Amino acid sequence: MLRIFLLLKWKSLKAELQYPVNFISGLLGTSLIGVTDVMLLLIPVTAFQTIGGWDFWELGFMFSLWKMSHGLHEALFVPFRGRHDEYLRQGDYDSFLIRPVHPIVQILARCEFGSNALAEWLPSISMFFITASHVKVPWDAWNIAFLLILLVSGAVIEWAVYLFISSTGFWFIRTNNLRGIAGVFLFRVANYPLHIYGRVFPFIMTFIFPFAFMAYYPTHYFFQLHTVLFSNWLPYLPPLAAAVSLAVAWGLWSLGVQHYQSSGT
Amino acid sequence: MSAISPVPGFQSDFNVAWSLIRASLKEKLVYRFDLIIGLLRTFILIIVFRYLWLALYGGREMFAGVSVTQAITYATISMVIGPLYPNSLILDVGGRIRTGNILFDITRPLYYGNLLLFQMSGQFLATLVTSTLPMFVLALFFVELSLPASPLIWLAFGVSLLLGFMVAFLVDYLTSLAGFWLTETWGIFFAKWSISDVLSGKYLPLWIFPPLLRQFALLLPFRGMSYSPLAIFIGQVTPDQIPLELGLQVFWIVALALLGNILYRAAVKKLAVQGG
Repeated sequence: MLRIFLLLKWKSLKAELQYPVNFISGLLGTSLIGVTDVMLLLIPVTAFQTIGGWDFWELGFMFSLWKMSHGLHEALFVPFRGRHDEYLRQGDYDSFLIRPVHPIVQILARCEFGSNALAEWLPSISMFFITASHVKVPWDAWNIAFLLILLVSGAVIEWAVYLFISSTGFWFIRTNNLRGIAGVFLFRVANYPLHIYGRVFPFIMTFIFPFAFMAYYPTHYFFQLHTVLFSNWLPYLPPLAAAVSLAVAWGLWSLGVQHYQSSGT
Repeated sequence: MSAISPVPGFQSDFNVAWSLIRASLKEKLVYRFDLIIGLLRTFILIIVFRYLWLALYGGREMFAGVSVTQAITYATISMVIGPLYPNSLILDVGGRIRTGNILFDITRPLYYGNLLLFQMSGQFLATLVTSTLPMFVLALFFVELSLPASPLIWLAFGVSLLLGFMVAFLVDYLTSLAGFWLTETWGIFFAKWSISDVLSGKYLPLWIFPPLLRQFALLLPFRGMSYSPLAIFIGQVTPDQIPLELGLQVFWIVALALLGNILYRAAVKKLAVQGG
């Protein structure tokens, strides 16, 4: 199964590379989003020194963790952001349901690998190496293992949120609105340290759209900060957050799929 | 070539413009739920930037001659007026080029740039009524704003906002013309989006930029999109500087419109080669 999955990815990358001008312009254009996000940190920090007590290197480090996870999400799980609606509307589910592979796996396999994920990794991995040398994190085996687990957990958390939202599509026709709201929290709120936001946003980012586990809480672990919002255990819990949110989302999907009525096309 | 619509500047097809504007307004009102969610998104963004400014100032009274209330007002009004500007024009034009539907657009007896401008003006008016004004009223209740005292400043802001819309439209129009050369436009769409979000001052006002970057941003047309109207609104552009600020916006509109006409001619030729 993994072999087929990787083969499909490789083929879709090759397909994209057939149009090199598009590939390069897409890659550069999308990478610029990362540059913009870094500018939105760098400019205010240059003027005011810190945001919520964190300097540029700390903020940049947190941002790079978030973006690397997000890149992994783009590489593995992206069909659940939007494409799922089309599959429901156009009746693709008919064919997913009669094949002997779990429909969710089939949908994941439809994911194109491509410039999207690379455009997340180029800026984020460079940011990681630039900032990691400034934030005084001891890179022993334990921390590196934690980092790898974290990146996977973060990608799964993002996937779980989108899987959950996609699954509401079994009842509602369009889910793009809910996705838009989640997007504001994922792409804007997550850029700045959560403790600047008062009470409501931290609650949402921890318990409703748990994006704070992608970077904000784990950053506390790396920096050895001992006062954490809600609970001092949160920095260690990204894998648990990922497991719980995926279980909830998967549960909703399982409920929803029983509601599926073919569009008849 | 003779079937391709001409490039002339002023075709006063007010009837055409009016029907396009009415169509946009109707479209907005059909999707009411989208409208409400759009308002909620804008509201969340306003709150994000309000918290960011409070954290940045951290109890400080002034920064660069600007109070925290002024800074929050800048960010709030920026989020309120944001939806007025074209957002998916580049992708839409790109889509029509890829499918070939662009032929129906450019063979009309109306300059393509004007057709798009009328469509976007319709969106502007529809968004103004259905989203910007309600959002502004909502913001008045939830966010501490410093509003201009003089009606002249309000007037200057209104004029600058219209000019800003024109600059934003022309930047998008020029970028979308690149779609005639590329077959996929999402790369340049994101590139334009990223660059203009920073350099227009949409998210962060230019006076907190490092000096070199600020000088650079002030020299480019993007400032005319957000920075000009917003800086006028909060008084960072003082009343005696307003004519200069508006003049700069007009300059960029004329320059970009001319460039648009030139590029359009080249683009249409390029398209004819492809179709031939």
